[in-house]
Parts: sequence; C-alpha cells; structure tokens
Amino acid sequence: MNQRKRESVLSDEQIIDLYFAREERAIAETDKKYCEYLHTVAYSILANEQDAEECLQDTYLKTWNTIPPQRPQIFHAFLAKITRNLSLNRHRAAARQKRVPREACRPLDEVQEFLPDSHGVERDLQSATVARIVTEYLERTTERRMYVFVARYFFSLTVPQVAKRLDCSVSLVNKELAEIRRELRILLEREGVDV
Amino acid sequence: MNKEQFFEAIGEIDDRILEKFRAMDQRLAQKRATKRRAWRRLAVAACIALCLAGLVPVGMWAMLILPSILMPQEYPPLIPTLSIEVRSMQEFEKMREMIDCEDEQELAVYLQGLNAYGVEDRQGLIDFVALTESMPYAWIIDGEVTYMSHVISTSVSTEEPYDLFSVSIDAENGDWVSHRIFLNEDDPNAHLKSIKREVRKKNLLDSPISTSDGRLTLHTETREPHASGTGDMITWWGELDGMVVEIRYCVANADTVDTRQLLANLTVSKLLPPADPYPRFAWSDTEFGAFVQRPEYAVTGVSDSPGMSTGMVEQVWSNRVYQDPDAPQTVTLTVQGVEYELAYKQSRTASATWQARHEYQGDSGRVKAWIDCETGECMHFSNYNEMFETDEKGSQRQIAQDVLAQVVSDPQAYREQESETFSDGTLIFSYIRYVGEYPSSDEIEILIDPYGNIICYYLGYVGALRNAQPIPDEVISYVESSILAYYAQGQDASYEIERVVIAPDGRMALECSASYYTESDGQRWGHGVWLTVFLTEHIQ
Repeated sequence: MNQRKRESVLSDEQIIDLYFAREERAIAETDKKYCEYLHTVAYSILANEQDAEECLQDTYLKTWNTIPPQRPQIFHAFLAKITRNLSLNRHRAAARQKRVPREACRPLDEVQEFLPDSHGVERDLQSATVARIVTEYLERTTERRMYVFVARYFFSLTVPQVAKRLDCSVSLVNKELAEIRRELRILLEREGVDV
Repeated sequence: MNKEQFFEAIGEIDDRILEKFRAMDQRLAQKRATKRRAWRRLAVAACIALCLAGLVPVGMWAMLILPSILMPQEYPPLIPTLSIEVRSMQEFEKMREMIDCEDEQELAVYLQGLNAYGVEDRQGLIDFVALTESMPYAWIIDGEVTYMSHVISTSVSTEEPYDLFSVSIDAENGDWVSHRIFLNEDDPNAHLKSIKREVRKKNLLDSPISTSDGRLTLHTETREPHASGTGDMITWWGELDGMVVEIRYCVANADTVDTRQLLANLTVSKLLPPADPYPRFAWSDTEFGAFVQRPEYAVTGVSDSPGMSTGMVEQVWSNRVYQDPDAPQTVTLTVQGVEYELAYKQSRTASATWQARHEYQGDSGRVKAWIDCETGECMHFSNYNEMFETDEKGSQRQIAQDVLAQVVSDPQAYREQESETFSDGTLIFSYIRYVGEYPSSDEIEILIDPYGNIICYYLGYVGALRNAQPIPDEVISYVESSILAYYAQGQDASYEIERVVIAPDGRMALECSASYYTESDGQRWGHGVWLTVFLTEHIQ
C-alpha cells in the first residue's frame, strides 16, 4: 500500500459536511484520515492486498451513497462497519469459489464456543439480538476485556497482534479470550437463546 | 444461527463500543511510542558513556547496533511483496503472449490491468510463467485450470513470511482439487509436524503414504462436509518433490475416494503441457532404451471413472468434435507474406490440452488452420505443400532410419512411403513415414523438427501391434470396454483404437476415436471424440 504523508486532517464533522455538500473532496479527506485504519480492518479479514485495496474503494463509494441522508454520530465506527461487512462479503464470495487462503482464517472456530448447545426447542436468533447482548456485555465488562474482544472478533486481529498492542504475552490474551467466551456464553444462555 | 452468522452479527455492536475501543487503542499506541523513545534515549546514553570511557570503537558500534536491538519492534508490515494470479488458461496464454510483445505501450497497458501486486515489468511475467511451467502437480482429477497464483507475503496468523504457489483444477462434474505449494521452506519437516499436531484428533493416516514414483508423500488426511453443505472436503498435507503441499479435494461423495488406491495409481507430472502444441524433446538413448525394453504391464483393477488411473491408464485427453453454426464459413490468413483462403470444416473442444478451436482447410486439405473460438486468433497453421530438398532433410531421414533400427527387428522390411515438410508459419516440420511390407502392414510415422529432434512417433495400427505384443490384450480390452464405451454413448455408437503413439517423455499412448448420435428437437446430431489415452506401467 502506498505510504501517505501525514498532512493536517479535517475533523469528522468537517468531512461529513463535505459529503452533505456533495464535494468529492470528502472521499479524499476520508482516505487521508482513515485509509490505514480501514486497510487494517479489510486486510485482517481478506489477507490479500489487492482485495483489501478494492474493499477500501468500495467503502468510499458506499459512504458517498449513504451520506446524506445518514449523518453518522461516530464516523470511524460507521466506516469500520461498512469495511467489515464488505470484507466479509468478499471473503464469502471467495470461499464459494473455494479460493480462501489459509491465512485468511477468521476466528470462526473460537466463535463456536459462544454458541450454547441446543436444548429442546430451537429458535431463530436475530443478529440485532446478538448485537444487543454483546453490546451490553462489553459495556459492563472491564475496558481491557472490551478491547480484547473487539480487536479479536470485530477487527479479526490475530492473537499475537492483540498481545503486541497490549504489550503482554500471547498466553495472557488467550486466557482472557477464553474467559470472555465463557462469560458471554453464560449470558446468552441466561437470555434464553438457543441455536 | 450458525457461527458464520454470529460472527457477522458481532459487526452490529453499538458504535459507542467502537469509539471506546479506538480511544483505548490510541492511548496504547502513545504508550508504545513513549516506550520506544525512552529506549532510544537509553541506548544513545549508553553509547556516549562508552565513548567517553575511551571505548570509542565499541561506542560507535553500539550506536549503530543497540538501538535496533533494544527498541521494541513495531508490527511487521502486513502488505505482500508480490502477488500475481490468473483465473483461466486463456489468461495464462495471454500472459505468455505478452512476454514476447514488442510494443512497450501495449505491455504497459497489460501490466496495469493485470491482477497483480509488485509485478512492474516483463520480467515479472517471465518469472511467473517460468515458475508455473516448472511446478509439479498430482493429477487427481482431469479438468480445467481455473486459478493459478504466486504470492510472497507475511502470514496474518503467524506473522511468518511465506512464498506460496496455488493452483485449482475444476472437473466437469463440479469436483475440484486445489494445491497450495509452499516454496522456499527452510524446514518442511517442522512445518508438517506442526500440522500433524493441529489435526491429530481428525487425522485419518496412521503413517505417511506415497505415490509409486515417490514424488508425493501424504502425511495427514482429514475429511469433513464442505462448508457449503454440498459434497465433502478431503484435505491432505504432505510433500510434493520435497516441498510442503496442502491438497484439498472437494468431491461429491468422499466415500468414493480410497486414498491408498488413489496414490497407488497416481503419478506426478508437470502442471501444464508445453506452450508449443508439438512438444519437443532431445533424442536420447534413454527414452528409446525404455521402449525397447518393453515394460511389463499388470492389471491392477478396473475403475468406473474413465480417465482415472487403474494401473494401466494414466490420463485421458479428449477432443470433442462438433459443428458450430456461429463459426465464420471462411477465413483469410496471411502467413509469411502469403495469403490463404480457407473454408470451415469443424470445431473441437479439448480437455487438458488446447482450448476450443475452429478448424479450417484449403487446397484439398493440405493447408490447415486452427482458430481460437473465443478470441478469433490463429493458434496453429500447417501447410503440407512446402517441400525442401536440403541436407537437413537427409540427416533427418538418417535419424528416422536409426529409430527404426531400434524399434523393429528387421528395418530393411520397412520402406519410406512419404517424406514431407510442412510449416506452421513459424517452424518447419519433417514427416517421414515408413510402411512395412505386406502382409504385416505395420506402419511407423516419425515427426522430426529441423534440428533433428524426434517430436513423436506413431507405432502403427493396433491390429498389427497385437501380433507384435508390445501392449497386453487386457490393456487394450480395458480401454475399449471402459474408456471408449463411456465416450461412445447414445445411438449408433462406435469406437476404435487407431494407433499407438510414443509421447515425448517416453510414455505410450493410444490414439482413439469414438462417435455416436443423439436426437433432440426432432433432429439427429452427430458427435465425435478423439482421445489420447496415456498408459503407465506397473510391475506386480
């Protein structure tokens, strides 16, 4: 990816105003401020430079088509979610064509541990319900645990990468992840969620 | 809800959580930067102290070395150094063509549109084509190449560098096989040991198993339903010509795959046929020696899948012949300054070799051309009319006679019947045909290039060969009853083994044809298939 110079950047409100004014500079300013951040999101899922770059372009296009009428409250979160969804779609398409490199492994096997065993009647689990339960858990838990969860399961960073950011050992991060999964599983069961 | 959906649902968490995350992430980044600055200052102070203490050389050395050792490392870059891929043989052939393109502008435009990273000039294309052509491949299924790539990058999961060649082959029935070959592995054993540990609970192999040529050894095997819900996925990890390889076989029903039997009948060969439709090889005693020794064949089993090796048949390449109503009825070609007007004859679609092509003929069939159905480019051109009387031809005749002396007991009994030279627009071939004396009616045809290399030779008709017994009757019977019967479906079906060919790598092959008729929409349609059935040898 090309290195970009660190020039002065606009605030999120100023960038969003550019979108509302339909000035194409909005995309350039978004790219200047968030390209590395969004690239990390895309590359962590796709593990392919070409695909990650294309995902970024798709993100900017989708943002341009969404703002207005939407006016996101938290711009970087808004962008990250778009990039994450586009990356997952692209990853799914690649998986359908059976072209997924082993390195592009999302932590799916770990996610399996969140899901309680099915007992009795099965019920559809809406993604909004899951999002609500997970959000409530992350709001109540420690900041560190919130960080570990989001880094690993939203941004799909590897365990060594999370450990480096926290300046701690890989084994400690693994231990924290295991505890998070256990706690969240109990929470899902308590909410009466069956899979 | 399955784990995939759950993982996606995590993406819907509240934005305020992401804001808290980003704030903490920035604080952590600041902390790391502060720590790096502190280490740097410490390193500089230590170096200055050494210099002041009179240890100037040590101090200077330390100034250079210590900062990089003491400073905490930042994340390794996660961008690849090189990434290049093609998604069909047509794309690959185009790449081969562009290597010879003399128009730099056209080459620049092509490179820009290429699905690649880190490939900036012709050399990048040359390197990828050379690598692909050198790659070994275990032909588990017969099919079309649908993906080939070379990536040099850093692993997301382990942060170790890797150099990876990937290829996928898709069969007509929907099955596919992919190879991922790890190039430049320092320690393949260590890599395979870690894989064995990872899959130890699901591994179905008690011990490694190898192909008879020893080029492929499988160390682990796992089987599970394919994630799509259709079919099964068999995954093997092993060594291919000493390189670590992951082979994934997506098959409709894994119960039909017996790994030991598969490997016993499998041989490793090159991934791609040579670019030239007439593969060339240098005449060496070894190849003819192999033929003269006449290896023993053994029947090891019969498979229901034509083309799958049973110990007798290694590969089946087929050409389907048909009439294409959309093909232009005439073409005009200019070859070496001469204009040829040719008429449409028929079309063919090949498996494993050439792509679909229209065939054109002129001058009573002595001038032929093959045009790519998709691109309209001329793939091959032959002119049987051109005759040359040169010393080269004389020397080629001598070589052909020497060949005869090797393969038949009485070369004097054979006489030269035809000797022609024809051109494909780029290369002149010589063609010398010998026919045995009546009543044996054996025939031997030898194709020689202008450098005296034997291109291939044909051993004559099967009827005569049965008398000479180079191939056991059960091999012939198997090919007729299984492979040819499979291709000759429908009404009024017929098939024939026409002759034996010795391929450039010394393998024997049977050239066969099968034809049949079908009815649809009240019309009767004729179908033809030309098959080249490569044989292998197994000693019981």
